[in-house]
Amino acid sequence: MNKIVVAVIFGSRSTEHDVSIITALSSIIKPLELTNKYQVIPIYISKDGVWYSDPRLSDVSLFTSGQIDSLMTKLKPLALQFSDGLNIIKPGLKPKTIKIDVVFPATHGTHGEDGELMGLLEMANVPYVGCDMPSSVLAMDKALAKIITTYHGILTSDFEWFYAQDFKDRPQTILKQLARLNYPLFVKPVHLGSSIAISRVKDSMELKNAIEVAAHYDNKIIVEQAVNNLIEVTVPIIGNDKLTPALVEQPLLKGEDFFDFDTKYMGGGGKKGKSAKGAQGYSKLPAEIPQDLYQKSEQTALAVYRCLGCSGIARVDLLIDTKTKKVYFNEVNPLPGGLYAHNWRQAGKSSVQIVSQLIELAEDKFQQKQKLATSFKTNYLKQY
Amino acid sequence: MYSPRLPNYLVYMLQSCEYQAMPYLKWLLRVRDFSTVMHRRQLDNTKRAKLLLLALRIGILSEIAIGIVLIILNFALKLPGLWAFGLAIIIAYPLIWPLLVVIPLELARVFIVQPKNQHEIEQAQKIYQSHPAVKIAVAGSYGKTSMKEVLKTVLSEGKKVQATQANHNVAIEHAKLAKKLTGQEEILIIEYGEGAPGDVAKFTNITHPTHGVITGLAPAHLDKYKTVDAAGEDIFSLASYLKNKNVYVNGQSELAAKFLKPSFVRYSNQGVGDWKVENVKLSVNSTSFQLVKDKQILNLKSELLGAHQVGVLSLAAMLAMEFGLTKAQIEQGIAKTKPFEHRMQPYQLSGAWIIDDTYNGNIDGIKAGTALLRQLSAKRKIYVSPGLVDQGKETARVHQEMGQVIAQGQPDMVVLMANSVTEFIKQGLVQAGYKGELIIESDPLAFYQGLEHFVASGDLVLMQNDWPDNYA
Amino acid sequence: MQAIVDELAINYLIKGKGKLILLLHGWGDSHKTFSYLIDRLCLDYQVLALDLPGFGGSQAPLGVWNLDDYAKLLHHFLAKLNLEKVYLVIGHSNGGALAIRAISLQELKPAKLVLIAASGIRDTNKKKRQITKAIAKTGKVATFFMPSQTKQRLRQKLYGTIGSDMLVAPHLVETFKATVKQDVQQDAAKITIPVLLIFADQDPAIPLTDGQRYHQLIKHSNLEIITSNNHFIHHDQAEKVEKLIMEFLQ
Repeated sequence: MNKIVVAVIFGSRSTEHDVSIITALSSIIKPLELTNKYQVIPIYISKDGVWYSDPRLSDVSLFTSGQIDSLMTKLKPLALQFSDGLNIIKPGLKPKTIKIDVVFPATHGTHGEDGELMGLLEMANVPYVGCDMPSSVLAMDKALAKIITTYHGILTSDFEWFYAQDFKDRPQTILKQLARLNYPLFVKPVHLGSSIAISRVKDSMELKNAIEVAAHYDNKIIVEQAVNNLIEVTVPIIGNDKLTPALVEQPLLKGEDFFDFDTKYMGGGGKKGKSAKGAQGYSKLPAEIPQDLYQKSEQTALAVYRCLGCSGIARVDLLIDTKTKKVYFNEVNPLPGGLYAHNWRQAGKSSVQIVSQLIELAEDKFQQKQKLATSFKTNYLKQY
Repeated sequence: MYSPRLPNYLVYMLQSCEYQAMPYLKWLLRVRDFSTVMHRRQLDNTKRAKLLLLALRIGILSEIAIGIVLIILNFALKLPGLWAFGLAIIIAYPLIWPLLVVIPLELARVFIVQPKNQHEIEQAQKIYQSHPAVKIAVAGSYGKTSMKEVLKTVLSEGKKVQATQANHNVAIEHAKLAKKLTGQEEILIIEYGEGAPGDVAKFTNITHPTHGVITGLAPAHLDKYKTVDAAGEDIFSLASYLKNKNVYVNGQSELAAKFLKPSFVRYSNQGVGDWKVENVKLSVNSTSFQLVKDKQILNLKSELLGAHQVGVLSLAAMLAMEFGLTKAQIEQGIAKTKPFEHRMQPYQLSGAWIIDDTYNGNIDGIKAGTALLRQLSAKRKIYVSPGLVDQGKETARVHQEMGQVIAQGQPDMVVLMANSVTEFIKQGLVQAGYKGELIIESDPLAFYQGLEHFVASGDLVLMQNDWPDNYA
Repeated sequence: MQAIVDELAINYLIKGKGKLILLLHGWGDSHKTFSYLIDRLCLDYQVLALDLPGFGGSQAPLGVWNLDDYAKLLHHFLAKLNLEKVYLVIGHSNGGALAIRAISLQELKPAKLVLIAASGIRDTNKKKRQITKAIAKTGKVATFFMPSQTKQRLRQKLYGTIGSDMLVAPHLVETFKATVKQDVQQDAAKITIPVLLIFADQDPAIPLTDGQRYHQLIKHSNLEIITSNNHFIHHDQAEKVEKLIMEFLQ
């Protein structure tokens, strides 16, 4: 029996390029190979946006040792074919064409997780894992995600958004627009996945500086009101139509610290041995919140996942005001770092089960879509 | 073949064969590609290995050097023909050295090691003969080391005890123990590692035991014994030496049944002698039960896993009573018993429980492990094994039985490391109507190293039998 | 936190209330090098520690910079945060040289200055640089046949033992060269504020003689010598360094 050919695409032009490598190698390729059901092809997009494929790219030590740089000078860029499914053409004296059965996108942030890669895969008409293009676009635009969820009656902290250029041209108009919000405020570039360039500000001087910082990274900026008596939680979810949430998790460290390679990714996935700790020490798993808030968090997360049209996997971040017992939607990650394997494991799903299920979900979604009519014969041209 | 790592491969193979020439040479014949040899483990950098490695490297390099010198001489001194000889010498090195390396090993064995051992064993015989301690010999096809350690742990609570180290259980090891003795010891525990007919009889003559424990009989070392009965004859010669007194035998070993005599004391998970076992509670990291006789009750809890340990613990408790330990001492001693590395040793991984029983190597061990697997509750039960080694003509039958035994453990998933016995285990699974998932894994190392990816919270994994790569 | 200064994203940390203390890290380092000091100083002072452009979480300069450019950036950075009155500047290694130059250029006007194993005296280091250069040159020949990976590692090792910081931040090679060209002894001689000099007796990167030289040059200076063979005295002897600074602040 021929194995299903799965291409794992990672890296790309993103501030989260490095995180993507760890997600792909430790949490996706390794478990996929262990299933023995798939032929795994690593496809690496360099920081300059060049596509490569080589079996050596599935070895994490290639990247941690820096040998990737010398390998890239030797490898020829990969060519791709988009008609009749996705084919990759490995360069060489006799170029080799390989048909890809399923794509597993493993990119974080810009030029990948934001829907760009999914659009490409839609054009190729190939099954792929995770959120589709429209839901990725919504999820990766913090303002759009909040607008859609608000429309569906999901609570989210009060906010305003604007274009960076408008602030440069008419700062006073924008500041007036923001005046109705109460400090402290959060200023964020809408598209950036990582916490870099997110500021919490207490007054108008800090606000201006923070907007400048956000504008340095993005053309669209969101300013939102902080939630009081805050507990942050996050809920990974898997599924297309039938959804399964993992445990409601309460991160203890925020931002860069939480996504620190050594503590989070390397500790959990990279090291062998009996004392794999992973992110456990850096979050409460499950979150230590009252039962009613726990359930409310699950329900809110599932509702967000549905109304944004997510599929495969995603992680929903929520903010809880422990005094008013209100649960606010914060943002969605269409591809959780490391697939949040540490959480799924605790919830009773192994990494091998997760990746296998994601491949199946990708195939299901693809089959369903094939049944939809997208083109029909007309005699429009003849009438013309 | 011309890999610069050739010496490493060869020393690794020698080490895996415990520096025995025959298995090494047999393996050498089978090897097609040396680079695949070292896929299970890494070379253990012992002094011996380092010396051999150095010798091999120097040998190979000097051979190549001689070859080059010959070639140069050919041209320098115009001695035609030498170049062909030199070239031949260079080309032939990967054929010569794998064989040449055996010679110093064998020479050392015959001329240095063996005479030295013989002398030490003679000395030991005198020491044991005059030593006043109770001397408990532990023999059997399996579970010896475990039995020895349990006895040592429990009896040490009230007595001065010495015992053979780890699983070092042949005559030269008995001699090493003798050297350490001060004469003050009250109890000696000596493990008998039988390997060929007459071994156990030889051990009794050296160590002069006063008590004998026989842990069971199973098809093992059949390359030398040929039949299980022959192995039984040898093992039970311990009982004859003791004139059938003070002999304790595992009552649950079916194959040992035909050798039982009325005067033997049997131990099992039902009890030992007049003591009865009650209220057994098994968990993933402990075993507890009561040992009852008339109105006496011992409350015992051990970190050893599985119902099959109940008999072993009971015997240790009873012997401790006989040797005069108090109830408190015995309960404390039993509480201190814990699994060895890789022998029904539980640990947690990614929220799952793994029971590591990879040093187990026989069907009785598999029965014990799978019985525990069935009794414990878990969200998902996974059984992992490559199969058993050293089964001779019995291979097909034993592995079919193994398949059936695994099925009785009711795992949700069975992972088998692909090799020559996999098909037989599969047949056994099918015969027993196994319905769960079956995975045949062709890369054991990747599987073991990636285990954390396979498991999740609530899973229970039983891993049995190490499969040394010289059988693969 | 970040701020945009001269079109560069600058990462910084601000903590505590009171008089302002500005911390300047060394070459190839980041503001995190001071975390021990920050946690203690912020109890009584407002502490501001930034990643200099090209280091930590801050964007690299677009052209080749020398100490003057860094000094100018410090001025603009403080202006951006509306924090122009600096009470104390603490500089480690190259951060020390920067502090001296910035004060001399009046880009920084602190009331007090602490220099920890500060660099900036270039003549005593000249010999070392020459050795580095010589080895780099012979090294190039010797490593010509090696695979690039080995070469890289070997070179890093060679430079490392000689004490060159250049390879720590390979993207800033030219900026490094421009920086180490700058000797700040004349600038040091102009300083009139009280200065605390903390140097290690066996620092492998900055010799104690540099500390003694600064002590001669700076009028109101005090030289404290710490027993250590570590260039990062504020890690190696953190408590001692903290105590000295606290006393100096009294």
